[in-house]
Amino acid sequence: MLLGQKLLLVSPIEVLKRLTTIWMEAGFWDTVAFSFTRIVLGFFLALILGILLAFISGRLRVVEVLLWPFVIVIKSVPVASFIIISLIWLSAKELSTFISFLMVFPIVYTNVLQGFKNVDKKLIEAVKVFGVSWRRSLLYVYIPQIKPFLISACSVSLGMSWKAGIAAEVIGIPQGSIGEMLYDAKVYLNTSDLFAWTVIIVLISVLFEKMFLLLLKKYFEGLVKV
Amino acid sequence: MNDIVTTKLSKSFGKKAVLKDFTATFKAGKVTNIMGSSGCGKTTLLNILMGLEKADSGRVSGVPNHISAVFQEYRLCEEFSAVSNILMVTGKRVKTSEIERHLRMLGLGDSLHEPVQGLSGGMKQRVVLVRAVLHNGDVLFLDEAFKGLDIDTKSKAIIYVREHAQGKTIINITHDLQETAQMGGKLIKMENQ
Ligand SMILES: Nc1ncnc2c1ncn2[C@@H]1O[C@H](COP(=O)(O)OP(=O)(O)OP(=O)(O)O)[C@@H](O)[C@H]1O
Ligand SMILES: [Mg+2]
Repeated sequence: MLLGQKLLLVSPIEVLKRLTTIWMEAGFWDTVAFSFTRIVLGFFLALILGILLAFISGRLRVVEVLLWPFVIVIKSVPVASFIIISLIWLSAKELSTFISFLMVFPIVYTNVLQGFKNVDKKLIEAVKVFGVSWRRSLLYVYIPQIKPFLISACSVSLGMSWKAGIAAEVIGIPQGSIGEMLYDAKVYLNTSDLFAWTVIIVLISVLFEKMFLLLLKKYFEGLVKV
Repeated sequence: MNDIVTTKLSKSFGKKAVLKDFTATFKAGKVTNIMGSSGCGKTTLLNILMGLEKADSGRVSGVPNHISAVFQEYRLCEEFSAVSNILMVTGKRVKTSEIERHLRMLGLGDSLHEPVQGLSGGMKQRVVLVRAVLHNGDVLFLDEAFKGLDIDTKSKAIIYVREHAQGKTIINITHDLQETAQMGGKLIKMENQ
């Protein structure tokens, strides 16, 4: 083993050095944009569908019962199995969107549904007696009480969507993705690239998470006057 | 407007009979006070009248669609202000300045726009009174609507309701005989089953 330990463990200095150059390389931002848009698209689709179906399930027990087995399956099947199975039907390009969706959907759906069930029954009765419109009940009763459930679902699932999305790219190797970079780094035993990309993924993921949660909270605050 | 009439209403929870053949008439446009010992079924009766609970047997007639209520618990949206809580039930039909004016009448001028979770029990009680009055239902269901208020504030609140809900059917549950005198109208004593 002439290559020695340098291969397995690069020094932080080397990773830092690599980080200062990597973002100037041709195609860096395209690569980041490729993975970002696809993973985030999966996240948003799951967010919208999760909230929508949770509200429907909250009102119609049949829908909840019908969806239950799907949610359980999505929750318990290992991501790797999903990635490999999905590769049979989906092109590698769309894979990370789908996998990110699969990670996020059950978390958003179950949390929001739980929030929905948690809404104060006495307040729901009051709103009914006063004949409050559907829109205003949503703004004053449902959204404020479901909000913490939704925020916690988002903060848990955002990181997961990135981890699973990148894993899908490493297995599917779509051209021009971060996953492809990681895969190449592994094949060419280029450890400093591997670590540099990992740092970049973490940075984007954390930045996006903070930004998104901030905007979400701002959105809720702006929704209706206290 | 019609009288509200209940005919032989019965309601049990499990083995416990709460209402048994309860028959009464609540005159349209008049006040009817209801007194009775704790647990005798007063709130249950209101719940049936408001359509929140179903009677096991018997009939209810004459309850209009547009009703207002003060519940035994406050049932406020705690993170919203008094003004917003009232806006929720009135919509834009009532101006914010009008809501503020009403809250001031009951001495709530200093806490119009802070979340109601920070208000005292007696203050919340006045907020829900104003909410019921400004919602302007054809019937007012009041379930111990003046509890937790000192004598002066209570008198003020009663006068406020009588003045602003004049000509409406009012069903007022209370444990306070003096209150029934101030409210006027009829008194029904409910018995334990
Ligand atoms: N949802 C319910 N499930 C089971 N029992 C109930 C329910 N609602 C009321 N009860 C019972 O019915 C009885 C009457 O209750 P209700 O709340 O109508 O009394 P009340 O006359 O309003 O008493 P209070 O003056 O203390 O408010 C009580 O014994 C109560 O335990
Ligand atoms: Mg009661």
